[in-house]
Amino acid sequence: MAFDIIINAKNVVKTYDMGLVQVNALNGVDFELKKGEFVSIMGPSGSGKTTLLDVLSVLLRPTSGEVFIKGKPISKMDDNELALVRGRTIGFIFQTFNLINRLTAKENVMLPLWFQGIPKNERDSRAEKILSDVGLGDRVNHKPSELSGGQRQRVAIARALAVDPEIVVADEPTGNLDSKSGEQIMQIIRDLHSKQGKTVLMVTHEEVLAQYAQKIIRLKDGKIINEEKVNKKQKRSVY
Amino acid sequence: MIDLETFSVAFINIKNQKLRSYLTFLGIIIGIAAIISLISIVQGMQVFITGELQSLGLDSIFVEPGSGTGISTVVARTLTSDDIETIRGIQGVKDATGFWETSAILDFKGQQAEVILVGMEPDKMYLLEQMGYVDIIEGREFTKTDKFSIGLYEDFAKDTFDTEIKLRENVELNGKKFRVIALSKSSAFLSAFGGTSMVLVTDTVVKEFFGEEDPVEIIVMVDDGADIKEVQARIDKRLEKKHGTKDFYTMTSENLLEGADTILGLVGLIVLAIAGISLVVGGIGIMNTMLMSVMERTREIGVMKAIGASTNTILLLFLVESGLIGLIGGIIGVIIGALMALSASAIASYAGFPFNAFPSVELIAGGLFFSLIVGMISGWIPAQRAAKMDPVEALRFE
Ligand SMILES: Nc1ncnc2c1ncn2[C@@H]1O[C@H](COP(=O)(O)OP(=O)(O)OP(=O)(O)O)[C@@H](O)[C@H]1O
Ligand SMILES: [Mg+2]
Repeated sequence: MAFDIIINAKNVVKTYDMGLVQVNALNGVDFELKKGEFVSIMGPSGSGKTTLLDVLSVLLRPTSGEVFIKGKPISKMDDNELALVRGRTIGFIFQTFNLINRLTAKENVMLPLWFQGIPKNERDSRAEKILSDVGLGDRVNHKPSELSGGQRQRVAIARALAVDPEIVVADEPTGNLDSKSGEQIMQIIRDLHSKQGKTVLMVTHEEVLAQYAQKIIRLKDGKIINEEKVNKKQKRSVY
Repeated sequence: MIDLETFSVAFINIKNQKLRSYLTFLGIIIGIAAIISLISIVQGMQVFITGELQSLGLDSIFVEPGSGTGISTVVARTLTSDDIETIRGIQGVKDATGFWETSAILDFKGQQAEVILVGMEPDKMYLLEQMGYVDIIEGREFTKTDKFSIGLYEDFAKDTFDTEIKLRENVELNGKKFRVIALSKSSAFLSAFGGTSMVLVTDTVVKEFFGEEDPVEIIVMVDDGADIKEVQARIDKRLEKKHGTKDFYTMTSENLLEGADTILGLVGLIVLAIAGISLVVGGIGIMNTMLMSVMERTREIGVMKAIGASTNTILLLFLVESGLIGLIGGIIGVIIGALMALSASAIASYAGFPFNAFPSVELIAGGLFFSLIVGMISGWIPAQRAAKMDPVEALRFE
């Protein structure tokens, strides 16, 4: 690919009009995500982390400023094109897993493939393979309600990986998990980056988890106040 | 994008709504059942009446007293026996005969019943047989020498009195003794109009004993190959000239058929209006269910959009779901409607009015298609709402 920078945000502002007051969730953010990078986003609650992640993953259009996906401005794309970008190049991992409860683990993983029009037997085999990759080979036909929190998040990761996206986006992926399953999830995410070469963008509250990344971005009041590289020595000391 | 999977996903979603969807189906079921049952009954009756009228012969003309507009309570006696002779002389007329009618009390072994005496010319009885009014199963035809002879319909002979009236037995009509010389099969068409309490005698009996000189109806048979409309017009013209005024009217089987069609068409329209209302109610029910379901699944819609479902995909998903609700309701409605129509025809057959009310393939297909469309139209607004949902807002929805 000719584009080293997959996602590029220029002077992004996101304002919520609350009637009397206007909330600036993002207040002029410039940001570049390079191919193969692992970036953590940190900041106090309400600082705009989720909003930034949503804008960068083209789930949300900014009030002003521009987001480029591989050089293409999203203001020039319609909602169906953005859906296509999400469906093909971005895998989402949510804090609350967001699985569909009446579908089985496998069906959940097959869903994004279905949206991409991939034939049934291929969807089937891909979903099974990815589920066993995340250690759930024996849980494919379980409903989310029959799985532990950590297992649910692994299903969600499998769903995010189903279409083999370039970018994986995670919003506090361990926020609803105990430390042990959180650790397992973090290991999977780290492997996604180091072994599969995925570009990872992760929001977290915890300093130790942020250290998994190569770069940490700190937000406050909708602005990036600091951007730092993680040195390897420090990184090795985690876990 | 639309494949079998879309339907199975939609089906899972419907199953998940449980009781609420069952109630949702109700409006559609009632609407479609009403349409299917009533239309198949009307169609069955149409076929039946057409067949019966055709058996009266497509070459007969009925001359009736009165104006022909509306139903006159007192039947005017404007036709005369002489008119029959006049009509026989008209070009294109093969033969003509009349009915002389009066009421009488029939006495059999001490029991009485009121009957309608129908007098007919004995030598013209074959006309009545040709037209299916009479079908002798026991006994013989009337002849010119018959006087105190009587013909009965089978049902009447069997069911009116404690003991069955048999051939060659005697009955009394207003105190005079008559002998049963013929038993006729009950005509379904006549019995539907209470015609089996009719008792056949010769015209002379009605004229001489009851003083009814004039026929109540004249039946005309047209020559083979003659244009029935032209003959009808000729009769109209000649009789009007003879009477000096148009105090009668003429009808062909075709006219009767048109009349029956008009009435059935009207019934059909009323039926469709009722069914239409219930389908609108059913449609609103589906819309309500779908709106609730879209709201409950807001978060899920957000997730689907995040993982790549386009606006069109979501729209399609919900449209298929609501269409499927309509279709399932339609299938149940068709089955119930068909059962209703069949039981109606079974009851009618039992009452001597045997018509076939099994819904036609076109009707079934139409009903199913219609239910699908009602479902999809009702689902349009909810599906639009789901499709246009902002993914981030939807994901934040609690
Ligand atoms: N739909 C909305 N309407 C109004 N205000 C909103 C909306 N979404 C977010 N905000 C506001 O924007 C700001 C940033 O929200 P955001 O969710 O991005 O914060 P965050 O950094 O992810 O916080 P947390 O760590 O608690 O998840 C907050 O002040 C929030 O109240
Ligand atoms: Mg957040």
